[in-house]
Amino acid sequence: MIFTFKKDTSEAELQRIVSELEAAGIRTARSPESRRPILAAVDPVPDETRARLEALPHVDSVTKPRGSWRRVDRAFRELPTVVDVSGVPFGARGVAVIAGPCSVESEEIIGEAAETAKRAGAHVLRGGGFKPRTSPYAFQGLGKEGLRLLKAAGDSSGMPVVSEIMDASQLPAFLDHDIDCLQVGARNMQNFTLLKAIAGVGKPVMLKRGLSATLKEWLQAAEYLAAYGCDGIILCERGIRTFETATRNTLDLTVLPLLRQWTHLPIIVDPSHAAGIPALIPPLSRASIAAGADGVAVECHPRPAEAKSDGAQALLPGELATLVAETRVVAAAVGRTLV
Amino acid sequence: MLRTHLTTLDRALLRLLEERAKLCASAPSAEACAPSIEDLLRRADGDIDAARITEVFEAIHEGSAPAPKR
Repeated sequence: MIFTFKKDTSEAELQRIVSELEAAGIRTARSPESRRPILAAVDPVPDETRARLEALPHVDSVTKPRGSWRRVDRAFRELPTVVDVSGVPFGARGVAVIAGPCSVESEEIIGEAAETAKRAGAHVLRGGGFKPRTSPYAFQGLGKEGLRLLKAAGDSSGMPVVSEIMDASQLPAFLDHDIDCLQVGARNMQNFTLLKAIAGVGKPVMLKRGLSATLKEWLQAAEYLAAYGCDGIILCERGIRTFETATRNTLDLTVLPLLRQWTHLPIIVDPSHAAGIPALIPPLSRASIAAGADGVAVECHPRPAEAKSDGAQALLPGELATLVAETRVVAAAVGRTLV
Repeated sequence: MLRTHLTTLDRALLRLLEERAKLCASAPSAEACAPSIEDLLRRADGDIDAARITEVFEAIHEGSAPAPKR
């Protein structure tokens, strides 16, 4: 249950309600919202308690979340949350573009990819150091050295960087190299040990939707991050597994308008992993922005044919530039802008 | 109905003009962000004549070009 209070509610009054709930064994969570006090009851609130609190003059509204999450529910914030990834905002009026190769392969390739992504108009550089590959025989990434090269390429091109963390044991490497945003991949969306480990380190987290995760499971995973201290969560829709085999996954654009109602978190789309076919990435990016995405994350590579992973779905530099330009047009048409 | 359609289009045009001006603000010179009128005329397949298209885009350029550097 989430209680939204009137703006003039005093801290003393709020504290009195918190104490009353906690005395009844109901844990509470205070929203960081500065415009008005908002309080979530983490544990179930008996009907009679709810009715009594709802009748208090300071209580403006009481909202029941659609699932068992609290902190990521739309009602927990008055305005949508804006997540700052080292100067690039996600969730504000601006739409952000994340671009880069699937894996960091070498200093030369990631440097070239960063420069072309920056010239194309991208805002954040992506690249994997630790790669969750389906086959144990496929390229597994350069590991910690990959993170170093990624960060150096980001610094050199003037872009923050995002990279996937697969295991809590890798966290020191991400912190040592000051990776700006930690990505939790689809396969790890419900790795709660990992979510708890990274939530409190002060870095934004991009949480990809699991291959077969429902929206409720996805938001519940996001709640883990929020409950353990992460206040910079970005959701990333990357396609789900369906009966369709013509594309790598099925991009579920329905989540964009729906999650706007359910959560205050920013939402971006990864059309590269959704489609797996370069020609589909630009139209799916445009559709994502039109449907309300706060950004897109796409794979690009200076020479896709030589890529060690996912080259078949990578955009060429020229294609990325066109995608960013078209994103700008669609964003403007729906009342937004590029970051 | 007509008013709704026109207002929606006008708002989109305004945002596109603002985006153009934002890009031009970082251009090294006014010439660098001049529209390619020839290309636009080749692509024009609506009811606006060439002279008017030229006139409109010249006005857009004038309105969005960066101020000359001193």
